[in-house]
Amino acid sequence: MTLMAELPPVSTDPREEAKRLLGLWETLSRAHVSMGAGCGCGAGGVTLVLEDFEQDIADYLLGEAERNKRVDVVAFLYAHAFGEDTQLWSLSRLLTALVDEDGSIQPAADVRAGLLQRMGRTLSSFAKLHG
Amino acid sequence: MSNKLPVTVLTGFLGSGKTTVLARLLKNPQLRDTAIIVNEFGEVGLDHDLLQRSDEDLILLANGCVCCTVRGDLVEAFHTLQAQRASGSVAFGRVIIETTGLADPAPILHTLMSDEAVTAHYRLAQVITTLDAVNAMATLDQHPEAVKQAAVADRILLTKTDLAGDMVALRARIAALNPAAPVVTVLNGDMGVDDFFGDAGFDITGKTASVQDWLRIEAYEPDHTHHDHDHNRGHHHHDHSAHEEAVDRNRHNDRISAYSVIRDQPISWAGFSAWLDMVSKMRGDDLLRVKGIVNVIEHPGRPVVIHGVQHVFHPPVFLDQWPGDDHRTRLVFITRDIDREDIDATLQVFEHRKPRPPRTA
Repeated sequence: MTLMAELPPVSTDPREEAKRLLGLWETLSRAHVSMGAGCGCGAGGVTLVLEDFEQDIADYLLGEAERNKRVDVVAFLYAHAFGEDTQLWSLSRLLTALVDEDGSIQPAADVRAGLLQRMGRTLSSFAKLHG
Repeated sequence: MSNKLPVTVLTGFLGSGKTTVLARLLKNPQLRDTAIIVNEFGEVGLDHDLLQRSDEDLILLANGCVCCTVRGDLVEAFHTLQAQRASGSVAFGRVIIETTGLADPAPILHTLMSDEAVTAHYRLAQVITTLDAVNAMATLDQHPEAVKQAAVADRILLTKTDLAGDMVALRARIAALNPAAPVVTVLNGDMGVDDFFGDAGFDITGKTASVQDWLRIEAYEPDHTHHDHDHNRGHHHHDHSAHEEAVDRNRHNDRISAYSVIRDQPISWAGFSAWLDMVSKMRGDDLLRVKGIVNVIEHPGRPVVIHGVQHVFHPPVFLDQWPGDDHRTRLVFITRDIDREDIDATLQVFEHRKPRPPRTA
C-alpha cells in the first residue's frame, strides 16, 4: 500500500487540510507493518499497527504545547482529543474537531494552524516511512 | 576490550581486487594468527602456493593461517573453526571473511551481530570494501549490490589506482555514499597490514573503545546545520556538501543518504527503543547502517551504544561512563530512500515518551 500516493496534496485551506490529515490518519492507522518471513534472522511474521502509536503522537502534541506554554492548545487538546471515559487520546476526534464541519467548535486560527502544521509533518513522515 | 575474536568482513564487487589484496596480505607473517572464511575459491583464488593441505572445509595455509570455505551456512563455518580451535588443532586470534563479489553483505553482518552461536566467541570488528578505481563508477551505476557494499563499509580500499586517471568524481561519490569511511589507496594490490586493518575496528562489547572514532560524527557534519526543532539538530550530508555538484545523488541515482541526527537533551530510552523498533520493522531493508550513542533519561551518566544493519541490531550496550565531554545523543544513518526529515520527525514523537498508565477496558 502506498499511503502518500493515495492522498490529495497539502491544502492551504485549514479545513481542507484538516480533512486531508483525517483521511491520512484513517488510512495510516489501519496500516500494518510486517517483517519478511523469508529472513534468516528469525524475525519473520512480526507485525505492528500504526494505530498503536496514536497515544505517542498525541502525547507529543501535548508535550510540545506544554513546552511552548501554549495553554490554549493544551486546553483544545483536552477538550477535543481526550476521552474521559477511555482515558485515551483520539487523533480522529482531534482532526474532526479541526475540520469543524458544522462550525460548532470554531477553533482559534493559530491553534488550528499550529496543530495542523505539526500533525501534517508528523503524519506525512510516518506515511513516508511506511512507504 | 572483550576477549571475543574480531571478525573483519572483506567485501567488494567482482573484479574489484579483494582476493588479490587478501592473497598478498596473507604472505605477511603478521597474519599468521588469522583465520580466513571465503565463500568459494574464485578464479583468482587465494594464492594456491599457500595451500598446504585440505581437510574438507578446513585448509591450513603455508603461512599458518587457517582457511574455511563456506559451502552452506556461515554459522557452520564458524562452528567448524571454533571446534578446531577448541581442540587445539588450529590457533588463530582473528577472522577475515571474504564475501563473493555479488554478495549483499547484510546477511553476513546479521549473523555476526545476532547469532548467539557466533557472538559467543566472535565480534564484528569492521567491514572493508574494495572498489576498483577504473571501473567503480560504472559498477556503482549498474549494480545496487556494489553501492550497498560501499555504503556499509568502515574502510574502503581503492584498488587499481595505478591504472586509473582522475579520481575526483569517484572520491566525491564515495564521500556522498559513506562520508565516515577512510579511503585507502592500494597500488598493485600491495598494502601493509596496518593499512588494511586501520584501528582494528570498534569493539561494541569492549566498552572502553573510542566511540568517537567509531561514529566519526564530524564526517556527517558539513557546512550547514539544520535547526528544525528547538533542541534537535540533524545534519544531512549530500544535500549540503561542498562538492554538491560532483556528488549529486540524482545524477548517479544511488538513492543512498548519509546523515546524522543529534539531540542535545537526554531522551526516553523506552521511547527511543520503541521508535527504533518501529523504523526497523517498517524500513529495515533501507537502513543500511545505523550507529550511535544515546543519552537516556532513565540511566543518567550511562550512555547507550547502538549499532544496526538493516533490521538487525546488536543488543544495546550501556557504557559505564561517557567516553568524552560530548554528552549529546549522536546518531548516524546510512539509508536508502529514507529522508533525514522523516527520521527526525518520527523520533520527535517518541523521544519524550512518558510512562503510561495501563489502559482501562
